Amino acid sequence: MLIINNLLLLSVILFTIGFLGLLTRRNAIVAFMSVEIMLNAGNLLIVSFASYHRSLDGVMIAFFMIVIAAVEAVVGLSIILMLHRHKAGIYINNFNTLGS
Amino acid sequence: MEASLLSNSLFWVLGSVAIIAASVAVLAPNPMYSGLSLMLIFFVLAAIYIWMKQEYFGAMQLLIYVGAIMVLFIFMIMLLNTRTDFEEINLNWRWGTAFLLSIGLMSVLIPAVVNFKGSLPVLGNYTENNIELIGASELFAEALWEKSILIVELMSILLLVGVLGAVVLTKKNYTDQI
Repeated sequence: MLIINNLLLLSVILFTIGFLGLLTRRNAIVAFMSVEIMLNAGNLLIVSFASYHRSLDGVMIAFFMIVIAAVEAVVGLSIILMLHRHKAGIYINNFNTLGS
Repeated sequence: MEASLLSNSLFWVLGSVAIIAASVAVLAPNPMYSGLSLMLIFFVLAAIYIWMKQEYFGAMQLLIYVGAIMVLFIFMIMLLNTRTDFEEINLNWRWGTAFLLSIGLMSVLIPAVVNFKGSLPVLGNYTENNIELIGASELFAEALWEKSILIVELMSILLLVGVLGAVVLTKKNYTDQI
């Protein structure tokens, strides 16, 4: 089997790319997708460690993290839909005037 | 030995496709291209999980991420975006700061994972012998329904709360009807 450092390196690079997208993009849906990339990078890290330890506990944690990501996507996209209704644009800058 | 060489090169191909697709997803001006690249990342990660002998988890990744979450994302892109919504990449202070922060994060994390030399002892029962004898699905079912049954039930409550939250958030003028 491959040494685990390559898998960890792939996970770290994916996490950094997601971080870059979260910082730079103004489109709320694309920023949200960057969060999904970061979540997947974390999942890859957990599953690779669990797989090299021949244990299923870490796989269970990653499995529940997928469920949490699904719920998060539903609620986050509802909030983006509300933003679109109020402001006619889904840019993250519009969130600073939601209260007024 | 030849099989392991083949599988290692398979990992390199999958990893480079994942990195290129992630870069396209982050940098593409059109949100639809971002969504389709994200779907490619999920496919590739499912292939990596299957390559790691976690077939059931790869199937779950395909079903939930590609089948549910990405369809929701693409539906939202088609619902909300007009064709004039493209976002160009221009080198202003925001992009410069973000690039510097990302390079800083990478320079912290990459030496940590490249120099990782911890031992990885066998801690669980998901070994090749047990997979041959008992079966991967049985081992997975035992871990899911016996060890973590409480978390499964809590996850069902979380899904219910998510559904209710989405309905309450997106319902129009619901305060008038109460």
